[in-house]
Amino acid sequence: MTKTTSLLREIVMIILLSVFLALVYNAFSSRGIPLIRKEIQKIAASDSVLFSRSLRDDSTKGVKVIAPLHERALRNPDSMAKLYPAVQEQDFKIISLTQLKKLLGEKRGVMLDARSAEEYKQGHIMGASNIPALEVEKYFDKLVTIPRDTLVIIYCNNPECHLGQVLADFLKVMEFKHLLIYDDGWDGWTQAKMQVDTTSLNY
Amino acid sequence: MDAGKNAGRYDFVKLLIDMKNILSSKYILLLSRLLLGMVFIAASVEKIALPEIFAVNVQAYQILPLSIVNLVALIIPWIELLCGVFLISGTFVRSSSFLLSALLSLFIIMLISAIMRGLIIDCGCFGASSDSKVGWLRIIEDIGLLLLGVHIISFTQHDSIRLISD
Repeated sequence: MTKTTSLLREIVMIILLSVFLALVYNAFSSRGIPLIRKEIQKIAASDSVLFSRSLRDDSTKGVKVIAPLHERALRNPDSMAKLYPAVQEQDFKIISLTQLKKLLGEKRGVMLDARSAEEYKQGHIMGASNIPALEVEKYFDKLVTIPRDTLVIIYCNNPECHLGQVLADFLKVMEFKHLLIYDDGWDGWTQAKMQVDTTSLNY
Repeated sequence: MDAGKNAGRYDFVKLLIDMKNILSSKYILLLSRLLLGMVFIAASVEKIALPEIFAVNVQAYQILPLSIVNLVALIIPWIELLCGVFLISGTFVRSSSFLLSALLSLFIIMLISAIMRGLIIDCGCFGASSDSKVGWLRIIEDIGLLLLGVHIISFTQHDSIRLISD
């Protein structure tokens, strides 16, 4: 009997210690997350917005807009990481395959593959560059050279894949203004038997 | 030394008495502890480092209410890590393997439920870098680990801070 109670006491103690360590670590970690999770809203981008004159003009002008705010902080990936959890609750604009094809046909925007380098090497959407979302800090120097009003299309494997959202969060902090996620991603692309690219583009 | 006390409890093992002797050997127990401990430490590190990704994995199972997903995703890896360390160091061996076995049972139930619902999701078993889809293989892995846990609980009489208990 005492053996069972001491076993129980130990179990409770281990759980409490885990809770304590988890909360303390999360509070001080640069990759900490809010304790209560909020719904991420995916909003389908409408054709009228996507193909309107104003957005078209914005993305073709190619004027380099340097983010006025925290430019110095942005130069330092560490402080970037601290900003990052703050923007996790937000909307994402989703586009369909048809919309993507039309955008690609008009040669608009930059296509970013948020998956890992290995997956990218095995095949990716035509013209996409690889920015592995899990190591996005490493690509900061390259991303910072892209004009902030460029139309950026991000994709991952499928709607369940979170990497596209991780990359979009990061770009949003960098004040990119026109972010779109092709939600069906690589799976949707290959299922539609679209053209696959295996050559790498370096950003 | 404990043969008399355990004779009744392990009646059904009488025919497999050799098996029991092997399983209760301190070296086999040590092997189980090290194996289970190392697997869980390995599984926990990346989940702790990248909690957001583990939270997304947990959310994908669509079992927990959204509001507690993050708390679960934060705490579970720490339980895994602590229990793994305790198992290897030989402290709180029974309670650690008890907790891990309980976790493994939960994981197995979640995996089966995900397969039944036809979810094609990342298992989240070892964090982000292991790209492993939910499938029967994951369940077999977890059952294997659960057997290790049960083995440790069944044959560990008392905890010892020494690496091999006597």
